[in-house]
Amino acid sequence: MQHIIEKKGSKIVLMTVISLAVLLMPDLSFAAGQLPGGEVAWWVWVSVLFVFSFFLGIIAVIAGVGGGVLFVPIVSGFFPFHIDYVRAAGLLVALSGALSAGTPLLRSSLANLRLGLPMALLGSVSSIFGAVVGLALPSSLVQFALGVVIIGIAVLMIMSKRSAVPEETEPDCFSQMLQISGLYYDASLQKDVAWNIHRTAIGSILFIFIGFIGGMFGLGAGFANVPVFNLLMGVPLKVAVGTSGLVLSINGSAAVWVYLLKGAVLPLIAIPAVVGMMAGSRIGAWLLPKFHPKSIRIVVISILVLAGVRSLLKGLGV
Amino acid sequence: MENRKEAFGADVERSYAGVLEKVSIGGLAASIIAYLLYVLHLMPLSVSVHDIAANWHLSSDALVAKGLASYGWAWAKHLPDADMLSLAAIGLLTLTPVACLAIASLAFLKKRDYAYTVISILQILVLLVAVSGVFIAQH
Repeated sequence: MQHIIEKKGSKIVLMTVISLAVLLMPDLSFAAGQLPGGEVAWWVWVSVLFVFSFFLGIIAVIAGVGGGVLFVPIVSGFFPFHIDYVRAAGLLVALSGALSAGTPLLRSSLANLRLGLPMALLGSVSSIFGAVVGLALPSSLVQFALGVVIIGIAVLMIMSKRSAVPEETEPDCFSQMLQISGLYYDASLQKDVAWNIHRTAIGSILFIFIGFIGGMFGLGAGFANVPVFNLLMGVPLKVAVGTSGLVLSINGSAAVWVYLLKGAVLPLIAIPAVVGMMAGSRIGAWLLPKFHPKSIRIVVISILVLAGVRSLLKGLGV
Repeated sequence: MENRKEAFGADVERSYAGVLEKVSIGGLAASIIAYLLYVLHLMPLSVSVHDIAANWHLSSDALVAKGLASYGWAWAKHLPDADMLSLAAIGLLTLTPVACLAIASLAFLKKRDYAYTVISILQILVLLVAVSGVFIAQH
């Protein structure tokens, strides 16, 4: 088993090195060039973005947060890109991470379509409106509001408790009508776990709000999906995390088209971010057993607070 | 175990997962290839990389006003320029859920699960409406 993991790990490292080399290639080729006025060359920013996204992917997986929630505040705060392109790239980063993780989660019944589809339907409509509103507002206001939201997420992460397998819940009328329930094998408990949900109506309303925020700021919104599924609706934590990715992939797909059709998707920024994050996420999944998630979580919360304050200040023009 | 999972509809999840894997890998591979064609100038570009980099601090509206980004579906007219191919590849990646939902809706229909067939079709419609651009103002 160990040698299989090591072999897989070496493959991942090799793939990452090749990706890095390929994405840094413009440095060595004719495509490189300086910006007018002797500023930093474009490929330097793009390369730094790729490397940054790669490390962010590792940290995000180990800390159990989505990539978008870290990507948007940090990149909009510390890189020279306008927040429009960063939000679009943030949605793509979150979306591609969810797509990448979706297959194994669906196959192991940790992502559930009966639970995810009704929430995604509501969330995707509101995420489109969130994107429209976000692009219509002045960028300084969006940057300031992003700071408030990010600091709010950090507080939520500090205060929220998680329930691996909630107490058995009595299904409500909506969940009975839609037959939302499931069964998965929990390897850590070594048994099948059957689950039901309750408070479906309140959960649905919250998913509308989460979709709007996700579309407006380009955040993945896994930070909010998981507690709503887990703590409010009584979904086991593993199924909540898996199904959150499913919801996120659909909501992100809807919102990102608003950005794309308004000229806010720049492939020059978006693709290195997506590839870096996906490569980093795979390394993160490989390293996960070796790290203590709690200590990484503290680091992530600290980074979120710093990025949130930076975003607030940038929004205020400081 | 498998029979119990079938009762909870895990077969639909497997169909969805099968399409998800193929389409998302295809979309990602297309994005990387198109990006390399773009940054290595292996194909003609609509807007040079340097022009984009010199203006990426401006809002998307400003970039459109300068003619450095396209509004609505105008970018499709510039295919197969490499920068627009990159955009098309990103678009392909984001359409992965549409393909997955199409398969899921058929699987639900086959099981005579009409409520979820309707939910899946409505979700496809929402995504296609977003793609159509009706939510963005006329430019």
